[in-house]
Amino acid sequence: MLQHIFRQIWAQRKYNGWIFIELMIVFVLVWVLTDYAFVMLHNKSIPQGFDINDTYLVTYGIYGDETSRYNPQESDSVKIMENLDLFVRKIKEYKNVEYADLTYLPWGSVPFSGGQNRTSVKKYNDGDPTEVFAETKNVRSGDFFRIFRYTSAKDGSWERPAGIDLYQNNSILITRKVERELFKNESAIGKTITADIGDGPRNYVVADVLNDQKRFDYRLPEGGVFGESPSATPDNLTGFGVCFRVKQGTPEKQFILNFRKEMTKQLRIGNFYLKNIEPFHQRKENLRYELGITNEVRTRTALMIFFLLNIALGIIATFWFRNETRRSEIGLRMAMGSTRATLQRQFITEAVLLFTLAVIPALIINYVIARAGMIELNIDLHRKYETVVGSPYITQHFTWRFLVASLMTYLLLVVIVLFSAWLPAYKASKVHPVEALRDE
Amino acid sequence: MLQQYFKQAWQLIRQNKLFSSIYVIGTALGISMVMVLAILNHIKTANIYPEYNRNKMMYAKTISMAPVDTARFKYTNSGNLSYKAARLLFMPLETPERISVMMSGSNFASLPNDDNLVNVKSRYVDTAYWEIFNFRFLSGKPFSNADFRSGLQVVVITESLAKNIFGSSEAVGKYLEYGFKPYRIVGVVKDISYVMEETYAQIWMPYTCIEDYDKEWSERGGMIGDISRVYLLAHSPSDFESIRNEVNENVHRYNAQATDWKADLMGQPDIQSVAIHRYWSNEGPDMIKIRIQNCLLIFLLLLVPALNLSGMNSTRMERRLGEMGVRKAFGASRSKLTNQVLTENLLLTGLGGLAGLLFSYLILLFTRDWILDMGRQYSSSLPEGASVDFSATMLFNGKIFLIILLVCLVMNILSALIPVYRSLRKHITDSLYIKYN
Repeated sequence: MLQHIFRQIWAQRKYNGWIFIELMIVFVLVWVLTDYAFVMLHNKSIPQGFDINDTYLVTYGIYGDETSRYNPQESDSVKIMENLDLFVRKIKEYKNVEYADLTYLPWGSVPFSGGQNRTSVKKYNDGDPTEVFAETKNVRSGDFFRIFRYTSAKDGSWERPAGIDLYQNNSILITRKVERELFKNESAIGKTITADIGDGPRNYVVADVLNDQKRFDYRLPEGGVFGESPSATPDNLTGFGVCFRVKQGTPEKQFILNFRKEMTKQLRIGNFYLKNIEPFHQRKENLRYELGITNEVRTRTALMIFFLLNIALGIIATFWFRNETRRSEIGLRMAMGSTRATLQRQFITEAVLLFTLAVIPALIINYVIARAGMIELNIDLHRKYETVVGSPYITQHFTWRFLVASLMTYLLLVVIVLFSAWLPAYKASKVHPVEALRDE
Repeated sequence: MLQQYFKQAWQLIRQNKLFSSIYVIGTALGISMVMVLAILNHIKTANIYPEYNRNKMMYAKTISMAPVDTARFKYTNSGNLSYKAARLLFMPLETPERISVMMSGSNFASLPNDDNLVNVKSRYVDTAYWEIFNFRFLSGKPFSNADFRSGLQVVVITESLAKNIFGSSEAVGKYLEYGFKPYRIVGVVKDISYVMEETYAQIWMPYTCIEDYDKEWSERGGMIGDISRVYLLAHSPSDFESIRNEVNENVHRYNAQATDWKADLMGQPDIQSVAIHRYWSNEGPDMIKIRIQNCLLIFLLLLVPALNLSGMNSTRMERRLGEMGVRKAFGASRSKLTNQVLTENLLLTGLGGLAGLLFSYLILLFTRDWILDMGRQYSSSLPEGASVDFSATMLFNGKIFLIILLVCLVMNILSALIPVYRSLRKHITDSLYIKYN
């Protein structure tokens, strides 16, 4: 049977040639797109490490002395701090707000802020330091963990880190990745490390280990160290904002609308005013857009649809017209006892075999592309298409990544090929044998 | 003759409805993608309201400062130009017709002591800005040279901002607050589409009313600062080279007496088609790479559908082998037959092209919020309340129609030439033989 179909394909090579070349080129291109999708989906499936659902950021503005709304009586440092306290307290007491606190914002301390401050974290082992790099997060109070739900690796709760006072005993928190890289299989709790979280390198004692966290959902986890933040003073207030979490299921649009309406007047306290309220997932989407990821995904999706449509159209056209010219053959086969089902199966097998033949040279081209590093993804921590020794992630393993992406491409395209070949095959098999043989 | 071909082609199309419709869809698919790219390029580079002088414009936005003594300062720094840099390198130029400097920002616009705060995008400009760009004033006029020199707090706003704050576009002479400081409105202009990168804003004011706009920082020679753009309007595109030379002379002169930091403009000032690709402050766009990438993309977008069409054409030619044989037997030359088939094919491709163009308009309509940022390495997300509007001149114009004609011709030749050539190469007897087999 298979041999017969191979002979059939070869006999028709003049017409199959075009669709063969097209299938090959499209496989090469779709493979590049699928590989990207695979890495994206793989990274997305890794837990984020924190939770920004139902969280918001409120930023305040401060009327300067050159503005028409400046109130000089509210401008001494005691008054300013009192007013700021009141500003935060009013948000805490607003309906549906569960936790709220003044939060240090610069350099990526809160999720999805765009900036990032990476520090070297060292462990001294008899004089010889082991060094890794991690994001620094400056945390002002335990509510930070209740709002964003960074969880302890020990029991998965956010109350555990929230209960640790980072301003006492040189305490610091690290994530699993940092622990793994510095201490291998030992626990890091209670050990001393050196890190720079803003005031230069200092020794800290690890108070707890948090679960791994990702900076963006499409990236691999990055190490993190969580230490104390600078205290708010009248001189550094632009670096702070109010983060809060609302009760689960509070409808977002309505909440923002009500908040603006009810709080704009209330939050005009001294020289403070409500500047903006923004849900964190919005910040996430904006950042994704600004970094070009959203457009990259859209462009690639559009190209993917374009190639799939072309393949479908090509297969339908090729097989439709060929089946029409093969009507006498079809009639003959039916007269010889082929059922409609066997006929359809034969045509579809022919298409799938043709496709599979085209995949062989395509895979060789793809292998060369991958080896040459022509598709470096900037969504990955490690940009190169290569094996990273010791990495637990399948996308950092050359052979596996190549195999999975190729298999995904094959399955995706074979579905399209099956469907597009079935359509003309079904129509051709519906012809009455007498009708078909009349052409003879 | 041509008419005869077309008549015959039309008959053929009507006889093979299925073939024709699949063929037209296949063509439309490829052409629509290329047309989207062509229209986007047109929107970004053609003369469109209010940027009617794009073909005569040059732009500069970034500067890179390298240390003279690498033992003292380690790294090269880059960023936007400072006022000092603009004053030394660009303002003394003699070849350009107009020179303008623009800074941008955003803040709240409001009525005095009112809680309705409108977040607006602002541009701090000079008087030449209003001559380089052709804003349509609904009432009032740009601020004057005297206003500019004395740093008067006056603004030009858009119609929609006037309506948002005052409830009507009659706003000239009234006062609004920007950043909680009072400004007098001197002009109201027609809204600017978000698509127009150099001019989109809601509010314009003299940069002389910003405190310290000309402050000189001591670091890096004071050449890195807050200027978003320097605009140079040339008398004609043929002046571009001499403007570039003049700028380079100024840079040389600066570097010759610089003790700590040397300036590098990285190929600036740019013409429009280069400026749209400049994202980073530390390096210029690699135009050769960008052009190769674009050509490759367009080639692939046309090649894949063309392969489809080639396959279809070769089946069709097979079926018409008999007809071709008879025509040959009666003396038709091969070139004549080739011409005929290609013309027939062109009609189908033309129909596909038309469908493709309509389809590309649909794509643009549904994706207009983001499609202009496609391929950018860094872009800003659409501000709240802003809408991307395409005007008729952006979509319907001679250039676009010319491009589609060209694309159709390329597509036609790509998809039909080889099958036709292969089919007509056959000997008459072969052609006739198959027919009656």
